[in-house]
Amino acid sequence: MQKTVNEVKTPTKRSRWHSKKFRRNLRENIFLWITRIALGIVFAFPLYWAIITSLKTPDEVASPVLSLFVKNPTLANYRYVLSQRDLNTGQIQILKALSNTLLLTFVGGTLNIIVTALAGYSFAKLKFKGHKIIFKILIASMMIPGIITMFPSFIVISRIGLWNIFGVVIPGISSVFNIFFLRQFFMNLPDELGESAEVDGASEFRIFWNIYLPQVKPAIAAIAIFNFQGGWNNFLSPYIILSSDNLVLATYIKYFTGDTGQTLAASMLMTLPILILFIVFQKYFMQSIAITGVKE
Amino acid sequence: MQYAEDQKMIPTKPKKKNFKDVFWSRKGQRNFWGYTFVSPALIIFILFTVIPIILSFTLALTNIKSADSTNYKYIGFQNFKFIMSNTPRFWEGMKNILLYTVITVPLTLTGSLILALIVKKSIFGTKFFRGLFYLPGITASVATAVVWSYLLNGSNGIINEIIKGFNGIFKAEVIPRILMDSDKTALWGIILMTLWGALGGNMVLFLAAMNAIPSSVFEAAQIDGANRVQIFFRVTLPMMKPAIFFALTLSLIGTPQMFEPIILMNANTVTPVYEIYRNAMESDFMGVAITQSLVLFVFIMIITVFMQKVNKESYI
Repeated sequence: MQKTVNEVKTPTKRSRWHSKKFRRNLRENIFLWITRIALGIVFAFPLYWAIITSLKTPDEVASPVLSLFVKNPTLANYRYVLSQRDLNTGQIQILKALSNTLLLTFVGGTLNIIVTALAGYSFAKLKFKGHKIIFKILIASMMIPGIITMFPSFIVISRIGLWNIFGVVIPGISSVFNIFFLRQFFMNLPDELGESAEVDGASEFRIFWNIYLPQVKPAIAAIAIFNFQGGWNNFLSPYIILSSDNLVLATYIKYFTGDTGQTLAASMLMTLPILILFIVFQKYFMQSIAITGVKE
Repeated sequence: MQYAEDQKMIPTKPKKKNFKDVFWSRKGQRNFWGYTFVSPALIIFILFTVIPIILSFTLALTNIKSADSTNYKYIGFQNFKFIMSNTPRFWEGMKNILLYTVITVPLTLTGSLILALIVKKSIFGTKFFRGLFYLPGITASVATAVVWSYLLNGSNGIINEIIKGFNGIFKAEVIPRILMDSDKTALWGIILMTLWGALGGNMVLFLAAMNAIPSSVFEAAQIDGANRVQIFFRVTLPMMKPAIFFALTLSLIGTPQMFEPIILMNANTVTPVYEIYRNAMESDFMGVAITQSLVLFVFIMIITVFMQKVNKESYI
């Protein structure tokens, strides 16, 4: 940013030190680094504290002397959390919770992508009779705060006999924001794309699936990440709907009435998979926020 | 226009189209597949958005007890009268949520704007710090609540130990300890946790908005002799207006509905939605709960409409 046109001569080391710009830049970088490290400690500390506490023995957890390190690290808390069995069925609880969470996350999340992509495509490209008014109604509903539908929707779930894991999954397989978001992406694609295939006699579904859908991959990736996070972390509806022998990871932690070390161990186990995904796909996580939130 | 009028002049015998022709025409096919593609989403929308909205406005006038009760009757506006005088906790929650919103929304937005400025410049380690600041945003709310409950616990929670040490220097209670079982300070615990969790997400949003500003704009400002502070307030901030309004509108709708952290942290405080949750799910007062949610709805709608009026180019 600081480059000027006149800087043709490559500066030697000595002259760099004497350059005002270089020194200013260095000062700025050092300032940024110190601020970043200080803030980084504040941001990372709760997680660091949770991890080391989960490795402590109950005595050490309760000890009034606080230490930044663990004296005798032990995995006992993790072993306890992983081996808890259901009193009635004898099943290992965390496995059951994990399979429910995976169902919620992957089946629910995938269905959501398909359902909202079909709808978004339909609004953008098929333009069926009445699509404008229906879309306006959908958009208007986004303005209505969640509280107005939250508890009455439990009445609907109860009345149509979905007071089980399906009642947690099914309401989530469509969302107006995703339809709106994908519609924008489909609208930016030219109509000619599908027309030649239509002439060749491809069905509408094939045109959608083979031609248009691959073009909106970045949008699909963003939604997939949001759905994954939402499903993995979803607490409220599993907490209200599912009974205590049918837990997901989020409610497993809540029902966990062990001591602090064990609860923290369970929390860290739940955080670990999403943390690994985040480290591997950090770029996509950040992009998903950027492309959904910033108007192009 | 002229062409269309000419068309009208030519007398044409209206041809009766049979259903088969219409259906297999290009338009008919588009309509058919259009409805087919949109129907799964519409069914979900009708079941879990349209019907609940209708239920909200009708069941508020009944004495329905719980989600599965079928035996209830019309009682007029009694629920509204009831919540005016008999639900002090709901109104206390209204006061709390006002404080909570007034504190967290400005702090989150300015905080994440500052964070974005700090991690904007790409130097060694920038990606790592961006990831680190966003990390709380991906942590499950349950896990976050467990961790913060421990940080804030009364016997040896580290934040309270720090506060104790700080007060020890002045030999007076400058800052009260933040205890989740005290109705005076529990809300502050939730505020701290919210800030920790929410800064990163908005930071990423603002960072993207900042990077979307064309560099020529900055260069022009530099040539005109603007200093950094001037550039930030006169160029960067105005260019980021859509993103800031987007974040502000979302927070102003979302923040007043906070209640999950109260359940998760067993916090001794109350917000409107927490009261609604208790009435609907725990105390068999579904009708009252729905009436209360209508009251909260009116408040949030006032904010939303106001935001729309202030900023016409808002994202939603």
